[in-house]
Amino acid sequence: MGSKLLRLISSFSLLAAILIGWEIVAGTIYPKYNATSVNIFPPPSAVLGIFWDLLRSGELVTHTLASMARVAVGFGIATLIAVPLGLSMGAWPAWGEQMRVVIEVLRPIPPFAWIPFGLLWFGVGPEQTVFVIVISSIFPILMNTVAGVEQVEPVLKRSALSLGASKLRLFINVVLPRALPQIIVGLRIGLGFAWMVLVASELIGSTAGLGYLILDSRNLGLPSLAFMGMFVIGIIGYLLDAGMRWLERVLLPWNA
Amino acid sequence: MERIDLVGRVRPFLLLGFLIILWELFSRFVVPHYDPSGLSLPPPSAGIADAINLMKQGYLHQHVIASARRVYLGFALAAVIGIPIGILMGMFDLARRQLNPVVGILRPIPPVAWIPITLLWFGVTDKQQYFIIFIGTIFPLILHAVAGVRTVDPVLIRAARSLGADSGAMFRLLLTASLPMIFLGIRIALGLGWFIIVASEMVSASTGLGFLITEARTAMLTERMYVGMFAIGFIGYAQDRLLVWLERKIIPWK
Repeated sequence: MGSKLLRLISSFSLLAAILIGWEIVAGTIYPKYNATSVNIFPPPSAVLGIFWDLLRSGELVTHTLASMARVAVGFGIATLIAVPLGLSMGAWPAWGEQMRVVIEVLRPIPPFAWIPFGLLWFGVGPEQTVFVIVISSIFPILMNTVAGVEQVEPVLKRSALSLGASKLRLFINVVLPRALPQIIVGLRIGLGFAWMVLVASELIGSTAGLGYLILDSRNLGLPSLAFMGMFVIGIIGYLLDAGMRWLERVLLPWNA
Repeated sequence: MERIDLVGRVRPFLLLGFLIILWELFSRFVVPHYDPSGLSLPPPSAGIADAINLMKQGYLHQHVIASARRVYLGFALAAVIGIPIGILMGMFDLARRQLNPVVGILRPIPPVAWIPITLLWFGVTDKQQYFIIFIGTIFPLILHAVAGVRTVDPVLIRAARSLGADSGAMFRLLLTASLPMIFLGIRIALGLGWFIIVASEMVSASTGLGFLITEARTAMLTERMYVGMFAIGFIGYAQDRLLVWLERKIIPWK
């Protein structure tokens, strides 16, 4: 037990060394050569300081909530479109074959490339961000839903049918539960995309949110704010992913 | 006989064709009622005409080259650093245990979130773009190299050992056996590279396809936005096909 803990702690020694080295170089050595060094390469203590300031002023919470709300709405709309569409593509192969060609044309387009269209159609603001999130998270959810329905074993379907299940019952009781793990994988990837695109969209056309906050750091010449924003964005992204993994384990214990 | 074949070939594209025709008609006859300038949604034919026009002038390929240079140079730098780090992490317990937390902290940060800080450091320069591509592509390269080395069949390793392989031979064995995973990492990283460059060039660049799209928006040339968007999509798709082909050549045993 004790040695296990020691082992765990010791595995963070490189990370700790990097952080301490960063603090010493950026906090004490660099300022001796350059009086405005904080405006270029701030020490971690300055990053923590600005985190504390913005947390207390409530500004950080406001921007975080703005970003989270956009992701929730955009991701929710994408799920409501993509899951039924994917299920229908899996259920009717002729329709699926037709849709697949359309999707294959649109899918290689980088999600970020939709941002200017979002700006053109919706202007600067949350609608633009929601639009871009919907477009970019739709594809992974859709593709994984289709794959999930397609991987249902024909034996399962045939046995359900031969036991007298109607088409609807077959779909609800056999196809859907069997496809669910793959659908959840799609949702997880989609949420990751949504978070990444959110930052870009807020960087380019927004007046609130975490992406806007870090862009503002550039205008203010405050790299500590940029670092702080980056880490907050990274941590939230990590938590969202961990949350989806947790959901996967709870909903699909047989899959873990 | 030949007519039947033709029908079979055309059939998968029916919906796509229908949607394109619908878009064309919608843009020509419905959109002008609400937006007399037609700027909000020009027809696809306008996009094709503009694409031909831009290619004739050599304007399009100039931006393609600018983006490609950034993607491939940034990626090359990430590959040279990331793949050896990944192999090291895969082979040595100590390296993996120490580097995992560092990678774990940096990886969840979206590459585009590095844009503001790098603009402060490098200004609007190509260096800034290289850095964004570097940071955006290095993590899939590292993680796939680690996974590649770690998932080498233990039977292979034991067999090599019992046959008296020295450390040089063992290294070559691990490298060869992890090649398919490393290659998958390269494919993912290059795909990501073309995704990220668009966002990066939209925020800060005066060349490249991302810039072409933003410039088209400010110049109110919506059809040119289509051109930029589909050009990137096409390049990303073509690159992926090429890599799949290359993979079969380099790793025939997979």
